[in-house]
Amino acid sequence: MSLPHARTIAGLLGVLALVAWPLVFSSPFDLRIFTLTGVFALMVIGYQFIFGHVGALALSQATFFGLGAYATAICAVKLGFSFPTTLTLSVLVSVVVALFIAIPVLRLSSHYFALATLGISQIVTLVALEWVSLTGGGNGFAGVPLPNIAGVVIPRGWPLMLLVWTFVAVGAVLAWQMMRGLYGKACHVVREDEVAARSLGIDIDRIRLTMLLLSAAYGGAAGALFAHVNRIASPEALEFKTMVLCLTMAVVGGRTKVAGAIIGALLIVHLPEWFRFLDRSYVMVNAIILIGLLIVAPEGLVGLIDRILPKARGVDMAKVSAIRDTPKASPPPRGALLPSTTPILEVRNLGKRFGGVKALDDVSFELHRGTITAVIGPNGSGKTTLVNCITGVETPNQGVITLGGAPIGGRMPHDIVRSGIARTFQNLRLVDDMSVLDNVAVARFEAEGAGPMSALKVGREDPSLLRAYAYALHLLHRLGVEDVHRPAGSLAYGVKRRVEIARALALDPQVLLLDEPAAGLNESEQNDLAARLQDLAASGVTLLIIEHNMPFLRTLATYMICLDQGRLIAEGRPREIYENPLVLDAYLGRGATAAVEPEPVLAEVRS
Amino acid sequence: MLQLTLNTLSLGSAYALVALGLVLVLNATNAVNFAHGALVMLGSYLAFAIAMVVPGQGIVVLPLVLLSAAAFGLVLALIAYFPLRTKPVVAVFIATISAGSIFENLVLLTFGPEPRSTPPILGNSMLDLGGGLAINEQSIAVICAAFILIAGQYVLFAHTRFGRRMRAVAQDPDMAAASGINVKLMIAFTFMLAAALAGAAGMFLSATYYTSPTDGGNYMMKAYLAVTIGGWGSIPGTVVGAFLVALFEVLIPAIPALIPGLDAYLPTTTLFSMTSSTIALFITFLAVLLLRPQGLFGEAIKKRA
Amino acid sequence: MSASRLLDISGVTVAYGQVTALQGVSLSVDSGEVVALVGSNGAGKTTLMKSIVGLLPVSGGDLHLKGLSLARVSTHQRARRGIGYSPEGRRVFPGLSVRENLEVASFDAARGTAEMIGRVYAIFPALQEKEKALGWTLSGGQQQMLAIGRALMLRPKLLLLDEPSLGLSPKLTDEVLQHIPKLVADGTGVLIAEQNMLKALEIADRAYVLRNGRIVQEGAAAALKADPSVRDAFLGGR
Repeated sequence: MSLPHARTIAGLLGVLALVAWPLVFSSPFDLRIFTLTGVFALMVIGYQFIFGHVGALALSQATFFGLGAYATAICAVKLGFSFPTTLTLSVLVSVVVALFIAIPVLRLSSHYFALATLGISQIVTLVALEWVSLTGGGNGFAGVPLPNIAGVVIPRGWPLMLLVWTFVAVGAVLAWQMMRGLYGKACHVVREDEVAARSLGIDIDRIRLTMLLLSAAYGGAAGALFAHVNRIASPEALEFKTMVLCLTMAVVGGRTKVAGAIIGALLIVHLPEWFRFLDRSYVMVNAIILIGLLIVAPEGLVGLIDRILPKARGVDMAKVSAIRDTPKASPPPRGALLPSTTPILEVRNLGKRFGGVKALDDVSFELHRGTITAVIGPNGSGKTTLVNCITGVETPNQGVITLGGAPIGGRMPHDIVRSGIARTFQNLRLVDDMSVLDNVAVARFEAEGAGPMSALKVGREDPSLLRAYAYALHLLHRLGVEDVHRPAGSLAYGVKRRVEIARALALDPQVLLLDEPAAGLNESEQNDLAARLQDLAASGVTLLIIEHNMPFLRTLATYMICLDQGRLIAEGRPREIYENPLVLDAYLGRGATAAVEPEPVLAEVRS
Repeated sequence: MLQLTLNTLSLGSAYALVALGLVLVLNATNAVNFAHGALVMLGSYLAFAIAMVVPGQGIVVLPLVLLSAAAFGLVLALIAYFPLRTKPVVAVFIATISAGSIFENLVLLTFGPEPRSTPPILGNSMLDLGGGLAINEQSIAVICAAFILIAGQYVLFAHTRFGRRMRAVAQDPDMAAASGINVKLMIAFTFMLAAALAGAAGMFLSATYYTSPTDGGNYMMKAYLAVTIGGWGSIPGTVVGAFLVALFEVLIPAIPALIPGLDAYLPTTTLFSMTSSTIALFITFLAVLLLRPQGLFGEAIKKRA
Repeated sequence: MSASRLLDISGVTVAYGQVTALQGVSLSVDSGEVVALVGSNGAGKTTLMKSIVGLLPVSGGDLHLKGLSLARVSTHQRARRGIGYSPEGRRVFPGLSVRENLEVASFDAARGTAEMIGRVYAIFPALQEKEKALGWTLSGGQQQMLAIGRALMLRPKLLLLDEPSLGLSPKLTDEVLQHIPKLVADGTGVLIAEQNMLKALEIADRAYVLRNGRIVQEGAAAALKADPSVRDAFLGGR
């Protein structure tokens, strides 16, 4: 921390070392190994998209790599295409195959996804082995020419090495730029918490698909180069061993940083060479060193560097403030634009069964703009199911839910979020290792329409990220959160609650569903929160609050509904609800004075 | 036809042993042990080596194979699992792959690359059942031995306190520890048991099919398939999955022989090769995932109710 | 230190990364006593429970059970030395039957185990009716009883109950809590963490108030119950 530029200096030193490497180890053999390092580095940078950034254990990167190699080999030899054409074809073939792979496997969860991608890879490998007339079978497809760009043949040694490393450099810069902005942060949320990501309107499937296609494109390009360097495309490139190599490079180097890919490739390609003198036992030494590295640096060698030189604040706050001060940064809430006579949210005859159990049974109510409605009821009465049905996480068996008059039934959760229903979670779902500001800014992902390309601005910050920061900062201040650069995980409980509400508000919702927002807050925090929620309602946001805390609701809620065993047993003003015999019986406890009596006592203390 | 059924059953029961070992470790540690295939391969070489020293039928060799394979299981746990227990799951994944390659090269350095065969359990002659029916002794013996091992494992888990503790560890390690169970010891034992099952399977498989040092990956893949088809953690599902894998492997190459005259219409040698049976297996597997993403038998019980 | 002192904690600090979850917490439980640990969500009750059990490492301070340091004692050894733990969220073994759940936590011979299971069934007859049912099929209240029963199987000297009323209706809460005084009859010490302050103080002899990782108040349960400043801190409770 005392050296603000330490990371920049370390980075420069790293690049310098990389440039010096081939100058020091400059024998033809060393150059060839270094060229191969570049090829693998490019493959791993690609693999980081799917494996690192969205955390999906895809075992198909070697397939993209091998397909790229075969496409180049076959097109260059049989059709005589030049390098730019074969390279483009290699990338295309890999991307098209990735699209096919994506159809069956993209939605599968972790292990199934891993094995399904592996299964498809096995099929491709077997086809390559068996289709001898096209691929040369087990011997591979030999005789690949050196790359030919506009009639100029790139010879081996330095020129080929430079060509490969130019691709690595361009690929690395592109990858870094794509992932440093708002899109990269959205990927981070997808990786850490899919439920939270969905609640922010992020289309997880689409992000995963984009990442898989990017991985494939990089893998295909790396494979094309591989064919030229080795002068052959062989089934080995497709095999699981290559996949393991790629995975090892990514894990040993670091999963999300391009520097990690390069360090991993350098190390894993050179390790066997360094231990070649051990003859046949080098593989074992290699494996032992690998396990050692995993123990020392489980987050990768780049993670080790991060631990020594922690990252300084990532963004220029002056620019953020400049945007924040423009009036556009805080438009009025969407809800304010609708006439107040029609209900914003209407629930009609909602029913949901789990097996034989009726979790919700014919529930109907409506919410009007700017009101605060509380849902109470014993545990298991269906409150959470109600929220899940409204947010599209569960599909109701019957009934209609309309938002601003339009039915939202059957729509995807992220789609419902986009149309204006946001929620917070009972047990806080912030991404702990992201800063407070990032956590809230990510909610602007959809509104900003951020994609991987939106951050591709040379030498400048991602503009959509800056706008998102400005918006987030505004909301965080409104909720009284000042320390916005700390990791969210390090905050006190009460502050986390407010950050989560700020995040939900950043979605610019018409309706905000709060699941036990007062749980874990002390009295002064509760009062503070209640005041801020009333402010929100006054500005036109409609609130639906699930709560057990009666004193908290007493002053806050304008309307209450009580659920019991999935049925709506009472609704009305809070005072009416407290005196309703059905509510007393089901929720507050029959004859259990202990459960009812505290209320006046507590209210007394409160006043 | 009978022989075909027997082949399927014996191959399936050997695969079931392999897959059960994988699922045991999976349930206890939440990590896929990618060295498991190498343990199968190791088992067949251990059997081969032990048979050179201890003369006699496979039935004599088997207990020694179980014990020595278990010892390797312990080694595996010590080098590739315990040091990385608190680290990300992929770290264990790669560490076990590395450990597998250590085993592979250990065997390669000791025995060379030639495929080896192990002694059959009782004998390898054909038993004449009369009426032109003859069955292979080894197939029967493998089915019986595997059945005994699987049943033994079932009894251990369902009917002994030790086995129930292993299940408790698999379901909630923290609460198992807080209930007085020595979790590390249980996990070490799980690895040993898994390795013993893998070792036995290795011995059974190489009596018929030969094994070379690089075969580990192949076994690993079969077991992984069986576990996934079976529902990622369900023990009965895994056994069924293993038999399905074996069925594909035995049945598809046998189709031309079963349907005489088929080669008049189809290029049978390429269409019903070993390769195409593997491809068919994978496609079936992908179809299963597409239709039932939770595996044929659904997830094992939820971690937390 | 009195001869009946069971658990003695002094200056315990627990940190997760940059967050300090517990700061210099000191507390004691005597044999035959029910001690309540009250505080809102996130105050550090569960963290303290877990560090006593050994599931979370402490970064400072000492823990003693019956005068012996727990510093180098692993979780399962602590359990066998007499710390029974019923965790927040119950966490029964979902794939084991009720009887198996109880059985795995006993380290007696078969006869002793059967006898202990009998005692647990005597306290919670509902469990006996469900003897063969798997853990995950039980209702919340039954799981809570099973979690407490499982902790009792170790014949604990110290019983830790973390939020035994969480997720239970007011009626069920009363049902579970009314058993707790019975458990101390034989000299077992009980440390009970509860958000439901009034309920906890009703059954406890003494109590500690935890707030933001520190003990802010302690004393006889009756006195704390009457103290308005304590209530003040706990309006979050139902």
